[in-house]
Amino acid sequence: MACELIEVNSQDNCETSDGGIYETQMVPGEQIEDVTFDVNGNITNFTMLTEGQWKSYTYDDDDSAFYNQTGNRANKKITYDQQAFLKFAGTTTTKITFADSLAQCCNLVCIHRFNSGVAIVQGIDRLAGGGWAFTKQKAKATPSALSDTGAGEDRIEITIGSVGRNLSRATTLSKAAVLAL
Amino acid sequence: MGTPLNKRAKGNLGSYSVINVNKRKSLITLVNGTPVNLLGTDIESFVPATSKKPASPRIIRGATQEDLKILYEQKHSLITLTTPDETDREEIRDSQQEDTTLSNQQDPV
Repeated sequence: MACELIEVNSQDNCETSDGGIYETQMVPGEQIEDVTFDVNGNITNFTMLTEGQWKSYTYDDDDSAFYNQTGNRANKKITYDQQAFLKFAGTTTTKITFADSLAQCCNLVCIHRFNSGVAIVQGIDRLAGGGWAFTKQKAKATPSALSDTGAGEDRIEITIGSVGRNLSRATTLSKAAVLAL
Repeated sequence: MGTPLNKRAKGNLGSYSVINVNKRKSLITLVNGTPVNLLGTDIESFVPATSKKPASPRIIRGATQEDLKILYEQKHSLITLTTPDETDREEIRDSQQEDTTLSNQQDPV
């Protein structure tokens, strides 16, 4: 992306800001054959090898989930450490199986839906030439299964980490559109 | 005689096709929010039951030239436009000139 400054005023219309994510759709990266972007760099379409591979996850509604991207610059080299955190309270055999199988995926693509309304795609980099690639370090899940103590909740926690060449792009695709693929 | 030629020429401005297919059995993408199979064949898939909906079959239809045109205009990187050969181009050019002549005759300014 070329150096082009875009004006932003954070005090326009006294806008509110609601952090966190509430829902994520995931697919193994090897199922994605192509990604289409609009002129603003938003992802507008995926081309899949087989249908019905996107799965949706709704985690605990306790404001614990997040998707953070932290920039690192070493002179001309810049990367972003990208980390999502999803928590599912209540340990069940289904959740254990889900977490264990997710750990076997070496290249995830995740659409994190923010409480603010935007949907951000982890696992895909938009390249300077206009093409795309999977992130420099592909997105992988690290699950934890915690019993906690009698004072707390037992739970499955999923951390999805990746390293991107640039910030994750937004997508204009709704949940229904993604799940229709 | 000119009208049928014009129609044929306008419909023969090129055809859209999918590149890098290799040995793919299917390539599913969205056209105006509807999933289609770029390889042009209908796919019958099975939607498993959930707690909210019963199991059901669904058809993902094969893409048409119109679908591919929409994707091409959206700059889908797997879609290419093949223009007709030189003979056809001359035919189109002739018919376009005929169009211009006709429109000039019909629209005196």
